[in-house]
Formats: sequence, structure tokens, C-alpha cells
Amino acid sequence: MTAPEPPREAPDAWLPPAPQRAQSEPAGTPSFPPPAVDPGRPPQRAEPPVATPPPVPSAPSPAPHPPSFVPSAQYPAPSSPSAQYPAPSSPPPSSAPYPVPAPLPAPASEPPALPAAEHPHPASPLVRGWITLVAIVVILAHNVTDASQGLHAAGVLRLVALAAIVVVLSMALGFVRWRTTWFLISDTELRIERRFIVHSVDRIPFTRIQSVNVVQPFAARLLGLAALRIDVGAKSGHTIEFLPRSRAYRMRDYLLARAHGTATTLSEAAALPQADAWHDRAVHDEVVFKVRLTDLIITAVLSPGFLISLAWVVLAVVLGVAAQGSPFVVLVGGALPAVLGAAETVNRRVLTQVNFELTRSERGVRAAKGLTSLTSESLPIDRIQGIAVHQNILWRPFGLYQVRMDVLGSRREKEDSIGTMLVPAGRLDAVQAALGAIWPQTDLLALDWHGVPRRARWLCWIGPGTQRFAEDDFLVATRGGVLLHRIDLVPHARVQSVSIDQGPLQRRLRLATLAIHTSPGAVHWTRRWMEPEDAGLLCHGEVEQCRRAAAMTNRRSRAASQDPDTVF
Amino acid sequence: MTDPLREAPPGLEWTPLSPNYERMKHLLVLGVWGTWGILVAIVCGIWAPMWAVGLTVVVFAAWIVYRYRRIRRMVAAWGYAEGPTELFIRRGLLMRSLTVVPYGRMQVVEVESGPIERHFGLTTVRLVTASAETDAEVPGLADAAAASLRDRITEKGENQAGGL
Repeated sequence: MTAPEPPREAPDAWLPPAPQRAQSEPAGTPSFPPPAVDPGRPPQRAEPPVATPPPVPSAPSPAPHPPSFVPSAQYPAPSSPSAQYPAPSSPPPSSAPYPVPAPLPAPASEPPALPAAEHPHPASPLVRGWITLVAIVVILAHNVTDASQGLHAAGVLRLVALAAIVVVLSMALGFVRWRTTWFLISDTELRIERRFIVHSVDRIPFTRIQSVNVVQPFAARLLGLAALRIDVGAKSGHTIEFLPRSRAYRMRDYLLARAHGTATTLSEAAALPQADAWHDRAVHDEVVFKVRLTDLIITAVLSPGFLISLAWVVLAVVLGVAAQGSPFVVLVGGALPAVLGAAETVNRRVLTQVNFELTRSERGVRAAKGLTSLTSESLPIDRIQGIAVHQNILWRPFGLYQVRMDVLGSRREKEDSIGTMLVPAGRLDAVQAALGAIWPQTDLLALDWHGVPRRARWLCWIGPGTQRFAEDDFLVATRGGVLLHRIDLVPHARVQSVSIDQGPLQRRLRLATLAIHTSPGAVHWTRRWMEPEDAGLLCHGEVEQCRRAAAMTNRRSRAASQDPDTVF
Repeated sequence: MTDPLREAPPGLEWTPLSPNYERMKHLLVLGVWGTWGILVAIVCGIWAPMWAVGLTVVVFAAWIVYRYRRIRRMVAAWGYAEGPTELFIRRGLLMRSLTVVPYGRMQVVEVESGPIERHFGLTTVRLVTASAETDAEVPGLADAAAASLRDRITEKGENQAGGL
């Protein structure tokens, strides 16, 4: 990591003329002019949080209030060699309020103990511009069908000019954003700083990381770049846009190792065998599941969204013909929205899931997918809060299932439901393989499934016999449903709370409903039609098991991690 | 036959809500349904024949009496029990429910008190976990009882933190 990365020298090529900047200086030297000279750099840079000493727990405060103004070079922190920032001409260290361990060395004379914060890759604005361009083209394509009547040459020209302006603006914005973004991934911390309009410093404790995504939009893929998205369980994740692809993969592996509680360093992580740049697959990674295009198409075509759209189209055409309306009205008024809806379903269920590949690596699972843009989401196994297996009744003849997992704070992707995809479309063996890769201690088919009492038929007329329940040392499971057959799996260690409910009719029949609450997502674990006594026993037993499992994982993660972040 | 929804977990006792909560509920039933009844009666008096007004008054009076008499049992159905490692909350007459929250799963303990509650010296304690489905609240505790409950479960939560 100490070796200067190519992107760190590249910025100069993309900057406006900055004659003060020595092009060939090594990364550790104070190559920056005094802050006031550089317009791209806010004046606060003189005391940036970059230089905040790690012992201060509230590091993210962007403007710490030191007893007196201290140029950052005087901070005794090992990160002080963020020598890019302090002005070389700043006042000499005379009255340092902090105990300075030794006469402060000139920043250039010693190699930095930590890599300084750096900008993302300088080509990032280009990618943003490209994404904007694609968005404009898509919007135009959506609207051009309506507007095509009154379109003439001048109009087209105006549209193109408008689009060009928007793209240039977005690239300019992207450039400013790139110039005002810093990130730091080191052995001790992960930090992202933004100083555009809103100044923010996000310091992310390693142990709080829930999942790490590497996202490559098409343009980024062409340029060999990738965005790093770090999910910490809050609603929005943290994004670093963009890094060179191989670096993004390396950082991903490193962050995952730290999230897992493994004490490792960047240089150790860099020495590990790396993922192949094109397939994102390390040598000893094992492919668990690969989706088949035909399965994806079947699940999409036989999904409620698609069928409703199709029925709507047929209805519109039939009604239109019956009423002898003009074909144009029929098409635009009735059929077109439905066709767009169907296309949306296909896009969501097929195009975004193409090439889906589930990989089991040493430290977790990784789901990679995408046709033009490539997304790969990685997470440690113990971050999975629950798994839901769904089978639409129409998929049953084909034996197809869909499997989702819940991860804290995972972004709500535009899938038809929430949760992160584990198997977008696959047969039973695929489901078993995926589950086996994640929770090898449990075999879905070998579980001891219990049914419901016969008297439940009075309340549940359709398919009470499909309701099943099972549990083992590791998880609790329910399954059931006719139109949508679903299996919900929750490990004991991930149970948040348990409740028993009983309505008046249930009480008459001496039945009760047990519900297990987990973090929000695809999993909804309820077991209806239980004997109340069983529900009571199970409830108490479950809470007991949940407590024990949680205590165990807690001890393990505490023991495994010497990360100072654990105290958070 | 033991009913897990009614009977306290082994070795524990249900702690009832404050008697003031019953008083507050009585007042609320009279106030809320009484106001609605008067409004409907006025509307009927303007646009409908007199017998409709009479009917409204009778129906609302019957409903208020029913609700009023029911409150004692409803409040009695609420209760919580502090286990060594988890909190039990039971409630409901028609729709009964029992919620169990391990202390280690708690993320936040919310304590709140609205203006009417404050007048009666009451406070609501609510436990928040990482799950949105967890519905664990104890309304109508005396202020001091709520504060001490909050402190006790917060302390137990810290000692048994299970994390995510």
C-alpha cells in the first residue's frame, strides 16, 4: 500500500492548470501549495480531520476545536504525514498543545506510517457523465413515442443540444465532487470525506460493515473502474466512486476480512491471491450456483406482474376492436402502458439477474450479476438475518424456486420484493446447494417437519395441510401456502423477539399463532394454528436458544477481533 | 391446561399497570365517544327527524357504557414480567398477545408521556429492536415505576448485549 498507486499520480492529468504542483514528486512529500492558493481546496484543509489523532474517539468531527489553532502537521497522530495537506510554509511547531513524542520530523524525511487520504480515480466524472447520457437517452426513448408526431429537425437539434448541456453539466458537477471527495482505507480505519456543499466525514467501524458491493456500470467497466459500496446497516450505504477495478476487489476482500473480525493488515490482504479482474473470482472460491437464462425467463413470464400486464394488453386490444376505436388510441391509451409494465418486469427479473453467479469464498458469500453493468455483493455469513424461499404456483410444474436473504440495511433494489437475491431462479438442487453453502449444518429436506392440528381446517379452508414447521439446533423454519408457497428460515441467533397472538375464533378452537420477528426484509416468520401450550413452550424455548446463540457468536466475534472498533 | 397467554412464566409475576391508567381510560372513553355522540346527534338534529337523534343517543350511550365497563378488564389484561434475561408483555382481551423480548436484543428503550398522560402521572415505555415487527410497549406506568423499569432493562441490556 505504500507504493504510490497509479491513480494518485494521474490526477494531474485531469486537473486544470496547476503550475504550483510538482508533477513527479513522490506521494509522501508535501507537494501542495498553501491552501489558500488552490481554489479547489476549501480553506479548512489546514486542520482537516485527516490529521485527527486516532486516540480521540469522536474522530469524525469535521472541525475539531483544539485549544488553539494548530496546523495539522503538529498533531502527534501517525496519520499526520497526510503531508499532502499541511502547507509547507505553515508556522513552525512551537507551542503544541498535545504531547508531541519527538521533535517533529519534516514530513518529507520519513515515509508516512499511514497512507494519506486520497481522491477516487480521476476518470470518475467521465463515468458520471456517461451514466447521465444513458439516463437521458432512456427518458427520451420513453417519451419519443408520444412526441413523435410533432418532431422535426430543429426540434431534434434542440433536444440534442439540451442533452449535451446536461451531460457537460453533470460531468462538471462530477469533477467538483471528485475534487472534494477523499477516502482512506488503512489498517486502522475506513473514512470517507466529502467537502462539496455539505461537508461530511464518515468514519466506518470495520466491525459494523454488513456487506460490501463492487458495482461496475457499463462506462466504468470500459474504463476498468468500479464503485465500492459499503453497507453498515443504516438506510443508505457509503459509496466510493470510482476505483480501479483490481483495487476495488482488493479493498473489498480486505474490508470483508475486517468485517469478519479477522485482524489483518492491508499489506497482508494484498498478498492474498487476487480475484481475476474479469470474473471476480479468487482461486479457491467455489461457484455454488449459476443461473440459467431459460429459468429466468420462465419465472419472469409466469410472474403476476407480467401476466397482469399481458391480460391488460389483450383486454385493451379486444375492447378497442369491439368499440372500433382508432388503432392509435388503442395502442397509446391502453396497450402501451401495459407493454411498458411487462417490459419493466422482464428487465427486473431477467436483465438485471442475467449471469447471476453465487460464489462461496473463504469468508462469506458473493452474488455477482449483470449484463452490461456488473454488480457483486459480498457479505460474511453471520450477517445473514434470514432466508426466504418462494415458489409461485405457476412455477411449480417447472420446479423453480426463488431464494432471497435478508441483510441489515441492504439497499432496496428494484426487485419485486425486498431482500438480497440468493437464487433468482433455480430448481430444488440449486436451493439446497445455496443453503448448504451458507448454513451447511442444516439440510432443508432432512428437517423434521410438523403439521398443524386438524381442527385448524375450520379457520383455514384452503391448504391447511401445506403448513409445516421445523426446527433444529441452528434455525427455525416454517413453510406453507398454496398460491405462493414460501419457506422462511431464521437462525436462532438472529431472532429479535417472539410473540404469540390469539384471536377470538382461535381461542374458541384452542389455537394460537407464533411469530418470530427479524430485521426488516423478505422473511416473515409466522406459524399459525398451533396448540397454545406448544406455542408457549416453543416461545420460551426459542427465546432461550436465541439468547444462547447470540451470546456464543458474541464471544466468538469478541475473541476473534482485536479491532478497537469492537468497543462501539 | 395452562394458557401461555394468561399465565405468568414460571417463577414470575405479572406486574399490573398503574390504577391511574384505568382512570385515564375511563375519562378518555367518556370524552372521545361522548364528543362523537354529541356531534352525530347534532348532525342528526339538523338533517334528520327527531327519532334519529334519540336513536343516536341511545346507541352511543349503550356503547359508552359497554366500553366503560370493559376498561377494568382490559387494563387488567395488560401486564409485564421481568425475567432474568427477557421481558414478557401480555395484553388484549379479544385479540390476546404475548410478546417476549430478550434484553440483549434491545436497541433503544423509549420513554414517553403525552399531555393527558402527564396529567395522570403516567408514562409509556417502549422497547425497540432491530425488527420493525417487534411491538413491545407498556403503557400507563407510574412515572417512578417507568423510570426504574427503564433503568433496569437498560442495564440488563448492556450486560447481555447480543448485537446483530
